Amino acid sequence: MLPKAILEKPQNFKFESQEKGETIYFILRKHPVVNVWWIVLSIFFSIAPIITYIYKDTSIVPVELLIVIPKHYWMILIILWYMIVIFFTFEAFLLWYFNIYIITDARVIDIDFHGLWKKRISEASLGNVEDASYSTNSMLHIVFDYGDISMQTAAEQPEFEFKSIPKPGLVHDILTNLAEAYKQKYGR
Amino acid sequence: MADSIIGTSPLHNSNVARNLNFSMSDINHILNTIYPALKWGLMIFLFFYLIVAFILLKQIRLMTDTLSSTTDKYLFILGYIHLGIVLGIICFAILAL
Repeated sequence: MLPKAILEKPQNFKFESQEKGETIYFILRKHPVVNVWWIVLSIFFSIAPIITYIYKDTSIVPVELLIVIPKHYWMILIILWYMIVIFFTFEAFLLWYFNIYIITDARVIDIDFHGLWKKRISEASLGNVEDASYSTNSMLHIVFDYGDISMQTAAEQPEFEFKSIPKPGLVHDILTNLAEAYKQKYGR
Repeated sequence: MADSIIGTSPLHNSNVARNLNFSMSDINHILNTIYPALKWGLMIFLFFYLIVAFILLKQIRLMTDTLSSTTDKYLFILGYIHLGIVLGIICFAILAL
């Protein structure tokens, strides 16, 4: 039920510009670990008013400050607070869910959504993939097995980078095999 | 409405008021002025937020057009739940404030 960060040969996915007979090998999202910051922030900001309410009579919360604000003002502040928290959480989830990388048997595609309005799709034919490498740059990358794949291409966008994707070694292997097979079949 | 709030405000007994060196009538005046402004500010915010909730549904449509899968319906359910929450809060705010 929970969305996965790596889908190998998914059957139930289709993308906008998919050609007839084009097979999707990978759909990749950033590793779930990169979501920890907004999940923790959302939980913290969700429970902060409750904790403040529970501890309002103790010395942890500055009572003098709280007592100044009348009850009805609190209502307004709490409504504003939770609306912002809900929006922030939902938007962060959507951006993670839809910022994806697709590897098919013919090309690599990077779909980026920025905020509410912006969408950017870049793609490169596998025949244009010159050099692909992957890197793990931190302890977290090693512990959770995720990293970055970068590709030099002869396409309009000279460099592709798949950031924070899970199992970069496996994806890199299959990507290079696919690129080789494509070049043997069609040339460049 | 504002008068009754000010009348029951614990501010009257607060040391903060004394420390800030305000007279009670100054504070009453400030609170009287701020409350309606804050209330209308919230209403305007909620109105814009309602628009954003609709935009979010559009955004989900745009995103699912770009990449469609069998789980799309759950995203739409989330989007409509979000819209429902916003509408609920607007009703609550209109009735309670």
